[in-house]
Amino acid sequence: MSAEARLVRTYLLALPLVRWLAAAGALVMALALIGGVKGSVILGLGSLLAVAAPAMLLGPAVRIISSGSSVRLRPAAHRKLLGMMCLVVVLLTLVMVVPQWLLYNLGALPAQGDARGFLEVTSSLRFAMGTWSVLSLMALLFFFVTVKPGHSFAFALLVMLWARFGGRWLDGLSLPFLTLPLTALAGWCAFSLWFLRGPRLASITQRLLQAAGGGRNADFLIRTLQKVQDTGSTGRQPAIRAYLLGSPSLKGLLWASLVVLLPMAPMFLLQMSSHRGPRWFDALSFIGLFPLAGVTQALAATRRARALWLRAGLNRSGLFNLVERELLAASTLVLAPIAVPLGVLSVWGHPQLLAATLCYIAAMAMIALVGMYYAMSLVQRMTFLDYALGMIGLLAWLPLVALLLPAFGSPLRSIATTAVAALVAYALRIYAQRRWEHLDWRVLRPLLRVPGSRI
Amino acid sequence: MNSLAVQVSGLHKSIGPRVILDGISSQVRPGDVIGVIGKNGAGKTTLLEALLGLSPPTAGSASIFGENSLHMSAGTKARIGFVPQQDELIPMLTGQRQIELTAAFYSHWDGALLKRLAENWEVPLDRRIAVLSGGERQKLSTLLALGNSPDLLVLDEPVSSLDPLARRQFLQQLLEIASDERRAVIFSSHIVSDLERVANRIWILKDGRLLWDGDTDELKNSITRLHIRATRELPATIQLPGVLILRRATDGRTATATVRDLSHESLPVLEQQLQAQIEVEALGLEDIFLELHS
Repeated sequence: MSAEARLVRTYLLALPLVRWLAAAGALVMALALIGGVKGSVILGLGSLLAVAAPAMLLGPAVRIISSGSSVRLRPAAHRKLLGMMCLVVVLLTLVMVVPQWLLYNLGALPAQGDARGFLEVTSSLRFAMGTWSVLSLMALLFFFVTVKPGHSFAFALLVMLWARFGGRWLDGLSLPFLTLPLTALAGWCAFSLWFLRGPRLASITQRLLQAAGGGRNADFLIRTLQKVQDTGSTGRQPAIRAYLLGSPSLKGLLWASLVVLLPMAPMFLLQMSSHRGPRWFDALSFIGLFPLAGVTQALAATRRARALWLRAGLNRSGLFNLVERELLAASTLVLAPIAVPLGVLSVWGHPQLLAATLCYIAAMAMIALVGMYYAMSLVQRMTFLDYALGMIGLLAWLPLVALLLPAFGSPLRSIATTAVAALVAYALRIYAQRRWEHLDWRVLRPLLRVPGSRI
Repeated sequence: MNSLAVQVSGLHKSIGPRVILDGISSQVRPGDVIGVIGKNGAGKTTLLEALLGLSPPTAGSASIFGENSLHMSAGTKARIGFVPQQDELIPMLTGQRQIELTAAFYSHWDGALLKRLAENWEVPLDRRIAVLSGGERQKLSTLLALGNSPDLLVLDEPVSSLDPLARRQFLQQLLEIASDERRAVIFSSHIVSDLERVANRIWILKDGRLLWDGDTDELKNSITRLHIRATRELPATIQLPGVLILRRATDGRTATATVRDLSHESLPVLEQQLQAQIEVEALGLEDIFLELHS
């Protein structure tokens, strides 16, 4: 067995979460296949169940393994790890594609729609290419999340811009279906080049940027943000905020949110009137940002609250209230860069849609709260209920909201979503509050830092 | 005021099916410097975190200055300094800023001591924490734990990233701090020679149990190694009082035994019984640790 295949085997079998989900997914897929074409939706969900976790964890896993400070694998193992990443993505693509092929025998059908010209590809091949592209981009994106979150946002932004505008360009060439595979291919090429020759490239880039900036450090944006965060008084409130949110001032958080989210909001707004067809995926990505922001902030703050156990002089329920208060303030600031442009654009362009927009923002805010309280409840060893709640939210509730909740649609749907989300958030709050009484920071340790500069 | 800094009774901790601590009981008095040793996974960090209320025990209890550690008052918490194994520093801040923010939590903060220690330990307080080395971060974490002049100082492997010079300097300072009779220090480390130099009491953890809880010197006097050399083959079963480990050489005439609480008066009798010469070797803490875990 080659080293790459052994690495693939180790990766897929090492994590209990991946094993359980894969087993559950396989079971669902088998049932769906027995059920025939009627079970196609269940088959899709089963495939997603088996594939989602290994696809999302692939990037971070490779990042951690290849970190110079974790294990000394350079340089040969980087090639092997890259090979392993490619193999895992191909394998996961097959898990998605083969059952569908078995169900529909799509390979026998001629291509539909805009696949024409010299590339007469079959529908199943297009499906396979699309799946491979999405999984590839997911693996690469999550790799960068572990290096620097800012990089991952920049990467996601580039992919989305390309998907939006590159598609139009390729449309002129009658090859719009190739937009995503070409993006993924370019992503793999750039990533491989960087991953295999990372340190040298980083040093050249740094020198070029320094030269362009008149000898200044190219990290000036981060330094500017740091200056904003690193000033101010040294009272108890800024200290609590610094320990929980990583910054003594909310100004820094606001700036960071603006930098990340402001360019994204108008882009999404342009295509938010309908969520049918392929736009559903864009809508899902946009809506997913809100619970994602809630979950990541709450997870980080809950872990960091450990540092306040002895310092703040509070008991566990007191700490819960403190963390909740700080998170609500922070979430408001994270949502503001999206909510404000949405509101302004509505009033400016379509005043009649203001009510619908406000209702939509309220629904999104409540979904963010659901994410926040869910993450706050994860303060003990994860139970089956925790996994199940997360999976239902990720695989069923959010896709459904993305389907039924257009930004400029009926306010009634937004109000209904807000009401449901508020109930879920309230229930999760009670659940989280109870679990905090027995919060175990032994289980909830600070995340290991992976140095960003040493690949 | 309660005379005990820490009291632990029947502390038991399981995570899932794994038992990490299995009925730990002990006491820590002001003036004690306790060194905690054990293999990886023996339960050192869990024990320290359970003591401080960071991790609720499955059974039993821990109290600090007379208060249950899960429900300590703000006043009691302010008397504790803790250096976790994995630091809780904020990468975006400078060391100086981190100190200032931490000081905001305490009514009493010894800034002068921290300034002096930062200079002695060469901690660059003007640099961002994100760019500090592992050792510098560890020193900064220790500074933060000392700022409130704690009556109980708990350090979880605080010297693992320090070079030998820095370690020596750090331990020297720790001795100075611990020389204050009102303070208690609990200090875990894999570097047994450091513990031997600093600790006046030792806790040896093995498989979640406290294998030894007592004075360092008493431990060193208690565990000894016997070198047995006979002129003819030793009997198949050698009966030695308090034997922990017995190793026979292949020639059958020599053996080494690690024994606990050896009575020197019994040696001549043993020599006669075995028709052998017995040499007694005093062991250092590291050897004792190895013998107890072999």
